[in-house]
Amino acid sequence: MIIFLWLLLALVPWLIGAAVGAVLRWKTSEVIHMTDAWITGSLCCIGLAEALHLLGAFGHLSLGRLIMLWFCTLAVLCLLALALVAGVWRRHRERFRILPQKGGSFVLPGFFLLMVLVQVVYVYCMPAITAPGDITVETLRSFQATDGIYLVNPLTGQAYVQGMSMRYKILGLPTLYALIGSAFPVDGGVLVQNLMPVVVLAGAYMAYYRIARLLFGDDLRKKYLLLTLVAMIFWCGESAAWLDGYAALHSAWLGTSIRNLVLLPYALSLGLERDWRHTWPCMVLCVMAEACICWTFNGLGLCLLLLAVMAVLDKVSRNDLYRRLSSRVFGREEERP
Amino acid sequence: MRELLQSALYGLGSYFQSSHMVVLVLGMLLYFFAAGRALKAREKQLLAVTAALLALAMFPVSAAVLMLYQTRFYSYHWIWSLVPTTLCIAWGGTMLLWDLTGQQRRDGKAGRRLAAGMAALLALMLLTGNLGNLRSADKEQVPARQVAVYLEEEVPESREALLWAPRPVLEAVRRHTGKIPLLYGRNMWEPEAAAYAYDTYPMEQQRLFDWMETIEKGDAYEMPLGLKIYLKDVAAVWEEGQEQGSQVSADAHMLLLAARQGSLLWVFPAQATERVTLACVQLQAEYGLRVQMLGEVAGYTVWRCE
Repeated sequence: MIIFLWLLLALVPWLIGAAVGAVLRWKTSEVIHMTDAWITGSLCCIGLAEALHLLGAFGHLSLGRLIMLWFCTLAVLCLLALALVAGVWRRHRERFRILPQKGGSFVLPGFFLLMVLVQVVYVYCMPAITAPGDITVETLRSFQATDGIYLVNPLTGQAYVQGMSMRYKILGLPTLYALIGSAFPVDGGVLVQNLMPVVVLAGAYMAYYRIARLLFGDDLRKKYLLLTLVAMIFWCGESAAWLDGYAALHSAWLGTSIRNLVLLPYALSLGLERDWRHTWPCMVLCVMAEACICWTFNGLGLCLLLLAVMAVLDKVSRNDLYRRLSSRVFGREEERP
Repeated sequence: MRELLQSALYGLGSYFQSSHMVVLVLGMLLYFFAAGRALKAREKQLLAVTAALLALAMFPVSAAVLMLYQTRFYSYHWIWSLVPTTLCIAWGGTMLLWDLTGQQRRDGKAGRRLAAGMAALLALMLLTGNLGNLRSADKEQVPARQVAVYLEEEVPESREALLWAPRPVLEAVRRHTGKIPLLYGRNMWEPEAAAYAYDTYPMEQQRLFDWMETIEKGDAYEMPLGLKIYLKDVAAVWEEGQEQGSQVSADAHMLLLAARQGSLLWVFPAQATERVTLACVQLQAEYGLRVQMLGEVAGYTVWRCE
């Protein structure tokens, strides 16, 4: 069953994301990369879980019903996505890139994969810890025990007296975990603290691979060197909760970790594309996903801020005055394409 | 705002203490801005974004504004999430290694040079990073988890009566199962966990928590002032420096208080069994409440009040 769960966690987001990618780039013949498709599909799954979470929290639907809705919706989405992807696949097989392109030595990719494997084993096999302020496992257990969303205070198991913060109540990450864990015989603690971190870690490397692809094009060695350095940074900077290394190796199930490891690099990569007309749907998905999993300023999270800063810098860099000033300061004007 | 400014002012040092990798980012930025190297448009954009966000996070006024933007729920350090430090170091490291180790030269030794360069960079990362947070379960969590399993499997009453126990047991129980309700939870002693709900605990439950702390930590632990005042002035069952009888009365009163708060299932450390037994005898004699020990597991005793 665990292998089946892994398979679904890999395939379902990819399928949905590939369909979304095909729809968004319907008129073009751009390649739909596996990494992009998986991240986009995962964001869609977060959105679906959030919708069900709101139904449970405010519509008072039981967890059992939400699980049924979750599986029905996912099944319908997957069937639609499969039909769409199969249609595009038959006409333009070259548009789906499952594996990276060929060429280059095996040494760097091999070294990178070895490092990732060690991290995966570390994250998957290490005992669960109590991160300060983290109540995800308790929340998941209380959902399962009461068959409902926030019917009791997760920390005591008693009904709320004065209620809970609305900004916290609308965050759907615990419901997503409850929905994933409900159909498989996996302990809630293991699912949250050992299994999901592996998925988030994979998502993080996919986001960084996307950036590497944008920065280095087809140069495979440079791309894998960048990814290897990212893996090294994760190992070396893991002393505090706000560092990427800690998020990747010790608390990847938290909303803030998903934001720092997957959403922000993904948003940055979208901004680096400088193609706002085509990338805006994915940007919106990114911003909304953050609002669903992190405590933000009325939904305006760091992804939006990052994209706003990038947009401003983009505008400024296209300004003639800036160009002249830049050429004076740095003594160069030409850009390599 | 003044608080935020102060936090931004002193937070930078604290952030730097947690990781010196910012130095690597600054080094990369300086190198690529000053070296006059021809870069692609996207690479320039990445550098510009990193520099701008770094400046926003470092200067106190902009940092305070960013802290306001992130709802004050997170501390200063979290605004650094916005700065792509990992990416900047990885990209800069890739470019530098490529150039410095001469990867364009096809002399058959490019791989070795790259390996040496990577080793040097790893050493730099180890020096500027901060290791030592190896993940391991707390030692006190293991017996507490055994108690949680015991309560779930062997004590059917645990699903109805509120459980009153030392901190590690309460933490382990809620992490193990959602079916056992507690008298109070982790939000009693962990401010971060208290931020999620508006509920507060009544004074009696806070005193029960204090008393459980004294029981768990033994004689070496000084009784909290709040508990002293409560036992002396409110309950009038205890006098400081008096003989053992006063302590037994105080303990019996606390057990009664727990029962009145709805908690009829108790877990105490095994080393306090004698003290609890004395208190239970007095509880039955004075208040008519019968307490029965259900069993002992992993250094803890489980009691039921009837």
